[in-house]
Amino acid sequence: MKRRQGTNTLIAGIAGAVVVVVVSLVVTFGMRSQGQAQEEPPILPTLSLSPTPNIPPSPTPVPAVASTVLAKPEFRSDDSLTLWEFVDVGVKLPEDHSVWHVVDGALLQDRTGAAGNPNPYETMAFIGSPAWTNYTVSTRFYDQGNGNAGLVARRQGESFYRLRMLASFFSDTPRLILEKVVNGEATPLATRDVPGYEIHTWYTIALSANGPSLQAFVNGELVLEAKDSALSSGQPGLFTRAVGKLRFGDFVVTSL
Amino acid sequence: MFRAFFIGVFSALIVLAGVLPINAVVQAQTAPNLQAISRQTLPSSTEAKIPDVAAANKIVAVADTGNKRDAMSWVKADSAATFGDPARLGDANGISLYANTAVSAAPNGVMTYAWISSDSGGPIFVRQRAVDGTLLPQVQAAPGTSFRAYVDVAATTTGTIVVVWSQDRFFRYSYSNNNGATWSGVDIVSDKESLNVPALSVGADNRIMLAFGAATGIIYAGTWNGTGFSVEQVSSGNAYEADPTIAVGPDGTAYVAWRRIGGGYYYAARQATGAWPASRLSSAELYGFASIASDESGNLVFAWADTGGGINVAYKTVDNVFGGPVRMIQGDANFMVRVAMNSNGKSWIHVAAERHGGSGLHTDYVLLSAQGAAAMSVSPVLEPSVTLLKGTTPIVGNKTSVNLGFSAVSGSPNQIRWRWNVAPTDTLSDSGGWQAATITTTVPILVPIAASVNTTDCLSETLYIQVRDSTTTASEVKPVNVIVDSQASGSVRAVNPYIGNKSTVFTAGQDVQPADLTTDTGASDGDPNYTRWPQLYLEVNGGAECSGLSQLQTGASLAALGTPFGIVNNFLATAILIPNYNFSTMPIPQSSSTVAVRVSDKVGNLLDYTNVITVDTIKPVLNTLTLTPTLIITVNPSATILADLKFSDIQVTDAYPGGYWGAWVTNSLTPVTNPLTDTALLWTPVRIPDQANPVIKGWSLASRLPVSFKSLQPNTTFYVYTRFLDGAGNPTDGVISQTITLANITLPRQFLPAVRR
Repeated sequence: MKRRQGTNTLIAGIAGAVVVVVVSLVVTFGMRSQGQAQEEPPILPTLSLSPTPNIPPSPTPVPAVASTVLAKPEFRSDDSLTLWEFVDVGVKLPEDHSVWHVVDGALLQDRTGAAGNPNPYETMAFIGSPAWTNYTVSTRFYDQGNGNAGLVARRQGESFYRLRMLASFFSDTPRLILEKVVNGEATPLATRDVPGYEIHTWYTIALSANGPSLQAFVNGELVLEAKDSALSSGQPGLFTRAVGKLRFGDFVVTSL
Repeated sequence: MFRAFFIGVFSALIVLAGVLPINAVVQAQTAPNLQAISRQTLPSSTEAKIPDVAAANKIVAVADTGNKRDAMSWVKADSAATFGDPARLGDANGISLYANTAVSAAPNGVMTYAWISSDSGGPIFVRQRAVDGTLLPQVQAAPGTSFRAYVDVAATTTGTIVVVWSQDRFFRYSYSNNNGATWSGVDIVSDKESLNVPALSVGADNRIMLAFGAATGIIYAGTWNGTGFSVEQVSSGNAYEADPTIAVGPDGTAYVAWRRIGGGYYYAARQATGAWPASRLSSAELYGFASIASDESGNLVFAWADTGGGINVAYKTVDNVFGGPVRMIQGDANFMVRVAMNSNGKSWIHVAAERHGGSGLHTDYVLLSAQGAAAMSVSPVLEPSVTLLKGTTPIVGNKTSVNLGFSAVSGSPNQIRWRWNVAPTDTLSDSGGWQAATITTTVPILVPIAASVNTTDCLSETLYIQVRDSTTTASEVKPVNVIVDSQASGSVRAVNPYIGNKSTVFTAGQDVQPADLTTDTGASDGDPNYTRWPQLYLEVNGGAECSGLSQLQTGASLAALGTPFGIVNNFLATAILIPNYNFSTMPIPQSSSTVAVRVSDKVGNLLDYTNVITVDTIKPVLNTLTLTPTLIITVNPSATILADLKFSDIQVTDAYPGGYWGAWVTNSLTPVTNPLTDTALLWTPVRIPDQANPVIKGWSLASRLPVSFKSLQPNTTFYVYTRFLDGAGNPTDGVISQTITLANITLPRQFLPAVRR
């Protein structure tokens, strides 16, 4: 009897070991098939980039006088995008076009359709009437790493006035530019050599076109002005580059 | 029993924990020492997009379209920290996103560029850079047509060039098998709708591979089969993936890397079964290319741009030791990172990336290095003791084998294989597979020159060698060049030195001697192998001689050549005396002498030449005793001033074969009493090739007359006198004369074709 019990114990132990071996082999070699590597941890450690802070709420805008407002689109869903005309400079392939979304009450530039790749080409969003002449276009923006933000006024085709701002991390200067673009060729009208804006911060910017007078404001402060008579009317709009990570809110156009 | 069962389970777990790999990576047994060395914004790289980089044979090149109009290339040695100014390859007008420029490095270091000449559908051009830096002319790989973008190129050492680009929703290609001289038509790579940029690569065995992403989010690879691509699916399709690149290792293994939308850098090595088991290199989210490259030792490098605009580089040795990633960020944002790598004592890693500074776009280059685990390498040199070079390539003579030496040997290789003009493989080599060998820097190996080697075109021939040790660890395939000059090329002539070097017009002398010069040394026209003075004009012209003509010997025979004297710049022209001629007796002997000339080139090839020169100062004799030689003048009815002079009953006795070479002819408007001494007569030598039917055609009756032919009046009588010449220019004393009166004198007229406007 004791000998039979000892034998049974041995068999049980061996059976347990065999089960473990078989299961281990199945797990290790049976699942390593094409394209299912997501089950394995990455080979390399993932470097931590600078943490992205949470986006604070946009500061409460100052209500505009209703009688002077030409446009004040709301950003509730992607349906809002139908109000806008998006223009990508130099883009010819459909997949390269910029991608825009409405997120958390803001208009977000979200890279391109080329498998989500960012691309530093210029992209702009226009609204309103090409017959508008004297007005102020303003918006708030929050940049999480795009580095280019701005406003457009009096756009007709490829001609317009533009306030263009660069973030502080960029090396090109100047970082504050008021320029005229005629048939795609830009000419600076006024510039300032400033450090550039900081990302992860809400800014309010405005561009006024009143006759030949052009004025640019950042957080209510006049930063640039110039005089030019080449363009007398056209649509207002937003400017950035198709790198993503930049959102616009509280877009308003008021007549002068 | 249950307790025993679980004891068995736990025991097995303990054992297996030490046996089964959790991860196939060997952690840091030998650190690869991945480190950044330098960073540079490439000069003139303004508004440049999608840069490309390639490296091989210690050379690295970056290609880019800049300034919205210039296809450009920068080239440097692999270990140099920075590039100089670029070379402009051609026009690439418009948005550089689409009119991009690509580069491929063949294993021997020849760079091949391709670019789209216009973002409006311009032709695709290809241009090659030779190893010595010479830029060959551009050739058209595909004609202009509808809009196209994103060209890439790959080229082999055997003349195959393949270009691939995106057009009308599909990737398309064309190819050449003769280094771009002619091109195929345009065809579609596959029926997969295209997404973004295709990526080509060429391996050391001249295998061309393609990786591309489809609009469905699936990654594909294609193997060039000579006329198209055999396409395979690489990724599973379980996730949306894009922007692949491809590398081919020295053993022919293809590696494809790609990115997963939402996060992840993946790569796969093609197995012999055709499977592509993928590995996740990093979980980081990346943008643009997941770039991968192999060096000649089989180490891999990975590079990508992260969401923060930084450049990331990681490295894997051939023994599976990983290093990195190293992240490089300096404020501006980087996109579209590309990488190449070559082996030269260590792995040299070359990264090219777009850098956006806020307003403008430039191309940045980063140089890194790493030490791969494959320490075995050699630096081969063909004919190390040969000093005769064309550029840096040694020139050897008509040999059946060359000496293969090594300027450096790392590790302990003891086997070698080789193949001429293409890398050896396991099934194809000129060495008959791996051969045991002593591989050191002191003792060369004798390598037979294969029948496939061209020894007559004076072009560089490449020997590809690879070494390994007994454990079958192999080094990278290395190319090394030589020029084999198997023959001395050129023209030689040793002839009468006065042929064509004297006035053709002679006056009769006072003593009936040929009065061509006061020294009476030579003939005015005649047979170049006959002369009245035992001197020769010797000319040697090397022309396209490969190694260059070196020296010259002359003699009475090839067995009795004299002291050599040198030839400079492949050409020599001089006058020499006939070898061994007997000058001690006067008059000088009439004799035929052999002249032998031997020309040597700088690698010892010989060019032999012989000729027989006859000294002949004896006048030929016109038989007027038993024959009545006559001359009949027949004018040309269309131009009566021209006449055929037909001779009959001509018998001339001379040592010259047939008795005479030609005739002296002269004209006069008055009868001449003694043509032999009349100094007013101007004689012209004329060849008469057919002694059986001696005729001089088209003789001008106005030739050498002391008056203008325009002054000649109708019914003028012309007196024609003729003496026969032997090959050395000795004339007969016998003269044949004839007269003719022209009722009308007409001159030759030239009719021009009528032109109607």
